[in-house]
Amino acid sequence: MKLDIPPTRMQLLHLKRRSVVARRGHKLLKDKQDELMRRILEFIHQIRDLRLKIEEELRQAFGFFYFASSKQAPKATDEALLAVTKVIDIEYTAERILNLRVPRFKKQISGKSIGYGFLTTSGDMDLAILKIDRLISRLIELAELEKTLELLASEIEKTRRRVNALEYILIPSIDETIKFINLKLSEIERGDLSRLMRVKEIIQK
Amino acid sequence: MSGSTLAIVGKRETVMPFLATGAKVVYTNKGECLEVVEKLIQENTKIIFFSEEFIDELSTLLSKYRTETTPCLIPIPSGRGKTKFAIERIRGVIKKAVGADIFLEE
Repeated sequence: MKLDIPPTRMQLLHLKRRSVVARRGHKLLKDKQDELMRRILEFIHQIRDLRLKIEEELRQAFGFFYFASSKQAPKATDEALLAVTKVIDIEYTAERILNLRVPRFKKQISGKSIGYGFLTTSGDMDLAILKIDRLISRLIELAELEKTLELLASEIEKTRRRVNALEYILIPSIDETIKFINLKLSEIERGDLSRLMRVKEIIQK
Repeated sequence: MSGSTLAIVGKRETVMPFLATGAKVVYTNKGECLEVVEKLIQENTKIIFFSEEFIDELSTLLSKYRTETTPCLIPIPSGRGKTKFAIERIRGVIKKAVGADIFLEE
């Protein structure tokens, strides 16, 4: 598609400069897209393995927990969970990947997760609590990774749109317009030349 | 701020075991989840895990915070049966970004 620009020498120079900038931008964005893609592919397998593992372990832990809570009095379950003295603190920092800010979490844990007596609760309860307790750091890691993945994915989408817009719309239309102006200018030149020749002929006669 | 940057949201029986981890656990039911999570976000909670049964209810929030660094809204299985909402979500994200469904391939 030709740009709506008057075919003058000034515009031609201007367009040539724009074409150089557009090509450079396109190359940069393309490189960025490739790099984002490389990173996301690295993440995908890591996330899939982690998520499947976590889901499996959570299922086991829930199983133990349900077993325990059906074996013991409901009050005992509540009491046992109230006796938890553990406090988890998350320290949040942002790390840069290209132009993105991705979250990184550092956890600090204090206190104990089992603070109840073993008399009224079943053994499965201990297993469930220990399992879930071990899982939480993995869950935090998963949160970090999934967020990074989401951010990378939306950035890839955005970058791809830009790359495509440059590659298939802007650069071709600039090129076409440059060609059009070149043709137009040489046409004007030819017209001038032949008019001059004609005028010269008339004068000589 | 102790415990307030990590929260777990879900039905009472599914998220109760998480009390043992020291995280903030919020009980909720269908229909109230959106409100609860919005409040948590306002309280500057950085990571929110929620039972995947609420994923539809939270879809507006999920897309709203998709491009933000925080909060991380992460679905976790609710322990009952095999629901694949969480995996499907990630799969969709990757499919859209990469242009091919490569998540579950070996």
